[in-house]
Amino acid sequence: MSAPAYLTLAEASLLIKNRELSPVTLTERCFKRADKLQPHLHAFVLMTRDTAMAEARKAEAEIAAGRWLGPMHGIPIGIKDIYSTRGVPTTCHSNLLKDHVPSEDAETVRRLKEAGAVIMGKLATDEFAFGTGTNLPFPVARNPWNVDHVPSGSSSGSGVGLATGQFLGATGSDTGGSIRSPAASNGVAGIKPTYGLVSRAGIFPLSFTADTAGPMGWTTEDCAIQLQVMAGYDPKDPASVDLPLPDYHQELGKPAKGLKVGVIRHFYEGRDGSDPETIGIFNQAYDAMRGLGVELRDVTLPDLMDFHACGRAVILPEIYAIHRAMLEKTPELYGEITRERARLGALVTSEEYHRGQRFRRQLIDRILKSMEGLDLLIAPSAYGAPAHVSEIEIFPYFGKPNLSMPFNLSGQPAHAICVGFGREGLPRSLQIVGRHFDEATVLRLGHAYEKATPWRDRRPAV
Amino acid sequence: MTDPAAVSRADFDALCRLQNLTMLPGEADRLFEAYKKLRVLLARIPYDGDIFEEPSPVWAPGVRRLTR
Repeated sequence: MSAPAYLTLAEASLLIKNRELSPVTLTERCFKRADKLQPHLHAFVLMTRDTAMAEARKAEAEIAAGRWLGPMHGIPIGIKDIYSTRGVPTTCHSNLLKDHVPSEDAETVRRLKEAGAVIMGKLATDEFAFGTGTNLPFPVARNPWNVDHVPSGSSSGSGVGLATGQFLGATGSDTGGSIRSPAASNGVAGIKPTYGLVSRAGIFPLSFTADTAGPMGWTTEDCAIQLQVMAGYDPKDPASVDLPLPDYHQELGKPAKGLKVGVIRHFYEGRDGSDPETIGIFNQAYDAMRGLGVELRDVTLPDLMDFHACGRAVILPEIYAIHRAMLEKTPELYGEITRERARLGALVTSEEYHRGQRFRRQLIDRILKSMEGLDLLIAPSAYGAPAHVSEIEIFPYFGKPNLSMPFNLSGQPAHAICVGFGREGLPRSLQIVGRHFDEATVLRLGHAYEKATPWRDRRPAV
Repeated sequence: MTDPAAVSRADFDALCRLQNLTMLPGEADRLFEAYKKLRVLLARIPYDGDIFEEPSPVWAPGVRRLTR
């Protein structure tokens, strides 16, 4: 059977299960596309072609022998380069680790391999998931919708490669929006799971308080399939929580009708950086959700700047604590922007850090109180079109407050979905936020919205 | 309350020395400007000297409070 130009992970999975699509053929097609686009978009820092093709052939043989492992079996994916991969360089997109070859897989990588996924390689990221500069070992990824605009980070290669069909699934990590921002800028989906749902063992840390790992995909359904494999208790991660998991894919089949959703308009509307066109796109998305029978009402949370300040008080010193030794010993090996950002954390006092942590607890209480009688919240994932590459700031902490931060601080699941495009052709995105460990409801609304709207039919013209 | 942005360059330089931050001149200038803005940003975080709230896992019910 001849597969269409673009397949979602879910579509490919079904074809593979039914032996209508060969994992080898699919992986070859993905590499062909990646080879064509890599010189322009730089989604990969390393392609592991030989091992990927061997994994694809193994998957094909297993499936032919009647040993189908599940929906990730034979699916080509990419791994963000802060996830450890056994025997394969894991550089964090930094000269500091350009020769680092882990002896173990990150727990999530191990689970994806065990599920039969075909790992095509390691993906571009902001350096150590928070910085950049000219002094990097690999080119930075470019936005496939318009290379003059940023793909956002830090899971930049994941977003770029998914939007262009170079692979069908990808891992990301999110400490202050690093899954949701590139999902938004590249027009894909990505879920930051509840803190503690997905193991972070073997993933280079950024902030112990806020780090989460999660999947990204072209669709919400693709995220659900990957989350099923990645989630679950891991004693190697001290934040990991031992809870039974729902069947996320099966839960997608439940109707969105009757869901009660709070819209956090004040995070965006009336704020510097908001624009009428984007507000109009968001309003159309709310209307589409109402058309599904979802009940929406406005809710008020604390000022977004309070979350932003709290996040900086907590995350900046944690970054510095992690990087201090390398900053002192070999500062010249960092990208310039990474180095300067990391140092700022050295200047936060311990009292400020702990005041931030206590304030975080208060902010969580206020979010949860605002959700009384509601199933979900909705807020913008990004301010509008992704920024022009000339607008990258060394310290992006003192202008527009970070839209992702509230749910990094609260630890709630937050899922970015594409909700349309501006006149300039760049994507817009909303995030759907749930109660702790209620990823199933978050994904259910995202899936229903995507099925009811045309945005998953549009791909970058590359 | 004192102006959180009222930090002298000499105090900033001393703090950087204490933290063993060695920088190129341009970097130090930028960090100083960022530091002043950071002071203003962090001043938004309220301080309540009577209540200690122990940071707890985000999914833990309730908040443990100890009144001084």
